[in-house]
Amino acid sequence: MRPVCIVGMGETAMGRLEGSTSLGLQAEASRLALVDAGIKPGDVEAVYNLDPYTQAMSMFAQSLLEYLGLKPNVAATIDAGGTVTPMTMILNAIAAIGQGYAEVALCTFGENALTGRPKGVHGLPQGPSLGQEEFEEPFGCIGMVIPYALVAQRHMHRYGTTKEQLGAVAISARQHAAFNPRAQMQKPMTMVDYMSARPIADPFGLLDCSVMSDGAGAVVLTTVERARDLRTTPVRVLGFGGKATHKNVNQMPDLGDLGLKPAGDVALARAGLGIADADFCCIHDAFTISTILGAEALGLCGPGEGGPYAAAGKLDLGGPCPVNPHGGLLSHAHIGGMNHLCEAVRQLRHEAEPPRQVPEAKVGVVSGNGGVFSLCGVMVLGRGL
Amino acid sequence: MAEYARPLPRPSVATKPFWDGCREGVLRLPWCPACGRPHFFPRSLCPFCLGTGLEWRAASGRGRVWSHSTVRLSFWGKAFDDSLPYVVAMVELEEGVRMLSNVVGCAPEEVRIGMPVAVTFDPVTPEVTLPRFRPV
Repeated sequence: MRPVCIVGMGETAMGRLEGSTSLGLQAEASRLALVDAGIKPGDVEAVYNLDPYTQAMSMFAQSLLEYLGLKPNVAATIDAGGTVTPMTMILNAIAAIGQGYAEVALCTFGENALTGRPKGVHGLPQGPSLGQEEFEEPFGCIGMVIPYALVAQRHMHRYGTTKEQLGAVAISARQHAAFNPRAQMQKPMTMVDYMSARPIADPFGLLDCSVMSDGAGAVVLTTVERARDLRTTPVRVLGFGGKATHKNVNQMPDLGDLGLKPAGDVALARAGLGIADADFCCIHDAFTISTILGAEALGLCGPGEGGPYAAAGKLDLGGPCPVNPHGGLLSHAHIGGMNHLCEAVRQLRHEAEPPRQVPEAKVGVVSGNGGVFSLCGVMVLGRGL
Repeated sequence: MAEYARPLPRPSVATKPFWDGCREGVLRLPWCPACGRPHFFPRSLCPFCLGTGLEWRAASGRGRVWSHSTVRLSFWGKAFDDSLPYVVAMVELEEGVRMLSNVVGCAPEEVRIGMPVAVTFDPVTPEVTLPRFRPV
């Protein structure tokens, strides 16, 4: 296998982008990533993307390559779920390039989830199905908020996690977003704001939930050999670990048996590192409880200690290991976790806006899941070759 | 009577005995003759050993709340508006399997994890009866 690295990264504006299309957003992020890498479009030989969750699409990688005028050797639409989707795109890119089936690979996701949804629909529209139809939806368990609320309630019962501790996660993300000019949510959030937010599904109020966004992100990969001639600081994948346990919340194992921890353990072992070596983490934070469970699973704190850890300010910039310095899905934008990878690349290249750049960052850990902690993945990234 | 506007299950060959049972007032679980374990949700094979030839047996209908959430917003157009707030719960049955359902028959704020509950059948349409749970 030829060694491979990430050499390009692009992010569009985030938020309410009236008139945007999922295809156009992915194309723009792809263009930005190729310009960033200094790679000509004609050199792209592998394209991986994800189709929009808010519109039923098929063979979307082909739609994208057609739109961009690319003629790659390999193209596929990958739906692993959440931040594990871009991780899985990157794994496929590493395999294709490493084995010589492609020289340059493009990985992207984005959609107009905010402005492109049918009116009056919360979460996903009533079209693309999550597989909840027969044994969850008839009971009013629809979309993702309620399943995650069930997880949060279980965590509160088992470990004494409090509503205020969930709030500390939301406030930390919002503080970080304030330093990020691309963040969708810039308005400061106080604990009073958090506690008085509209109740949605106990214990969650509106501010426990990630935002709905229009936007896209992309990364470009090539061989280490070629990277030496490019202008960007390369970022290597030092290790990956994954674990799937189920799909929907009704099949979820108990909190101690989720896939997040084995995924993290394997990823760090493959990298030959411990969590203490991480300069920052990007944890898939679809809901506030996600950051708490993610921090516990990575070993930033012990099992059940994620709530007090957040409340003590340890997720914050300036803390022992800043989590989601871009503002996360809670306050930057929810583009399926693509931007967790983009932010890790930006941090490792030392190109984040100064207040949120983690000083001398060399190792970043991206942790995520698709579904309801269903398919978990952790990717350890490192600066330089 | 207004048409039932909420999502309804569409039973398959593998799940029809479950939904038929609910309509008859019996909570049935599929058991694997090969490994001797029940599972839920019903499917065409055993998720523990891929055994087939599953047998349907009546469950006790009793269990405990494993987790719960009081839902305060309709996620299906306005279809759930007239039930808000309602309680979605995961219930661990005495047989060891968990299923997702609702807790009814008490105030939402009275629901606790570990609370003993028993099945109660709610015929929402002439064809479909949903198994919900009430405190015991």
